[in-house]
Amino acid sequence: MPIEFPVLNFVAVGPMLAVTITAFLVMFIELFVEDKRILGYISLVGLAVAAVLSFSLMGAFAAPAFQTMVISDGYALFLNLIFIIAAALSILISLSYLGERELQHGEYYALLLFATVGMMLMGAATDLMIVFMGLEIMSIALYILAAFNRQQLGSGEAGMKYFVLGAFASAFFLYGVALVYGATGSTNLQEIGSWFSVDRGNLGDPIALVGLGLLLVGFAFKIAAVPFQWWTPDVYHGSPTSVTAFMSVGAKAAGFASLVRVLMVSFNEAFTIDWQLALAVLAVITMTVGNIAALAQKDVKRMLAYSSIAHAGYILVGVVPASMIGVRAVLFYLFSYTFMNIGAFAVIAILERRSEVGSSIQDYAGLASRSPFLAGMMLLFMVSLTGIPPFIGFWGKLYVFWAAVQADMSWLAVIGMINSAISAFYYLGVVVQMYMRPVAADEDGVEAPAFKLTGPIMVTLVVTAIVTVVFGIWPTPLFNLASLAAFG
Amino acid sequence: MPLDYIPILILFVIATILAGVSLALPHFLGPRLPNKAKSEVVESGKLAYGDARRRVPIQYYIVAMLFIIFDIEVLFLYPWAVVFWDLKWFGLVQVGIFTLLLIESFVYVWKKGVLEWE
Repeated sequence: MPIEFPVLNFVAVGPMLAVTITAFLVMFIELFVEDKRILGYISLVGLAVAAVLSFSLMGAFAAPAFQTMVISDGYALFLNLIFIIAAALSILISLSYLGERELQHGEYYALLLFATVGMMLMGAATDLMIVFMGLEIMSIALYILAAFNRQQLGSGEAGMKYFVLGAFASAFFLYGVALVYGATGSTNLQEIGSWFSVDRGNLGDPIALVGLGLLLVGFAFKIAAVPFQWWTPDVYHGSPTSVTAFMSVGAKAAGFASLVRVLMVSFNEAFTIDWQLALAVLAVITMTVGNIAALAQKDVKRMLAYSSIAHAGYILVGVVPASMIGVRAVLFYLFSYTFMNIGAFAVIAILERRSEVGSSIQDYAGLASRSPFLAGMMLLFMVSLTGIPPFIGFWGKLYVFWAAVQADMSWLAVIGMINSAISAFYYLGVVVQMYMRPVAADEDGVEAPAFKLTGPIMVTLVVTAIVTVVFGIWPTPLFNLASLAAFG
Repeated sequence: MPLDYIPILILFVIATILAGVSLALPHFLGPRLPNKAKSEVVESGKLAYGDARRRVPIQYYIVAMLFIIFDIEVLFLYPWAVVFWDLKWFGLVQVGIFTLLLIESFVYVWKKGVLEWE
């Protein structure tokens, strides 16, 4: 009996393959080199290749691959760029940050690349099983990365909490997949979508609705939406700062990537009303709880963790309208958030004391006199995260709220704007500390150590700052790119 | 549609009743003759010594884990061997990549010193 060979289309998964091969190479070369920093540079080369491949696939025919398991459409490729940029920028932070803490191991870079592959897979997946696979590839790598600073108790705690709660959320997700499969007889997003179409009369299937609810729980955990956010502050606080920077943007973008695709492709006709209501409620409580909790934080890293919860709420506002304008706004927001947030974490990474986890707000007092450059950078990112023009964060928020207004949900946009105003308190609180408070005297009377501004972390700062400013003044090209990528 | 699941519900109920009955009956009907040997730990007829919370060399776990991983990965080669001629070059290349990754992880494990017992 002859065997029928499947059509695989390796070209469509080229970027993922490039990153995977790099990760294996990094693990192999790690055995033979003394200076592990070279592995970071090899990873950067691999990511650059993946970025070039993503660019070259853009605009080409969106070919499905591996029997409609994945697709390389504009949406997936745009998200690929976000993941690659997030990975590259945090590798640049790691090159400086890990060395000071004697954490420079080759496995770190390999795991970071594997997590990136998982994210790319989530963005490109057109089958619930592949979404789950990408989710696990990403999550398992991130669990280990969170606990990478194993000499610190806080880091181990972060890894353990993330693992236990993450595994729990994965189980929810998988149960949702099982129920959706039970109701529709398929795990393929397109087929699920057509099963619900009006003429087949399957609109209000209760089992599928329960399945959709469980899927939403799984995604809400990954994007850190309230009430599934409990892990976020502890994990972001305890993980090495370079890892926090990566997962706060990468894992969030990956979660949103497949959330939007699953909702828009599979559940767009039958259940739009149901999930719109659920996500609108989630968005409101996520924004509010995140912002109010952030107000009370004394640690800058923890404050940014709560702020990342709040940002998940803003992005959800863009998902709720179920429109192409909304998807475009989500993509734009994810892109802008990547740069602002990694930039802010790069400053934290420089200021963080070696002996402890986190960065107390007191360490920022009088920073403007100690290092005007760092203070200026932090000011820029804080202002952009607040959403004040003319920085990129302003446009992200504007597009997201505009999408809500277009869909006759102005109330959602109003709540979002009120929340942005609340967030100004804590973002600008950091600025006040830096510019208007004297340098805090150390308890032992020891003078604060000078900052080590090594090359790689400077590149991160400069790149994120330039993007934040340039696309803030002139967002059109980025907006056009997001328009090409959006669907709906 | 939910009606199709009625048999599962019935099965669930029957299973619960059956399990409950088979636990309850011996409890009420069975004779009870306690003695010392019955309350000891049972493990394949071996006599128990000490307590289970002992320190075991970490190498034991690592080697056992590696054995399971490599054992199961080699398992993939059997079905490939059965349809080797039908799969032609396609299968050979795929299994070649698979084996390459397997060898790479073996070299990695070896160089990391996992296989050293001391």
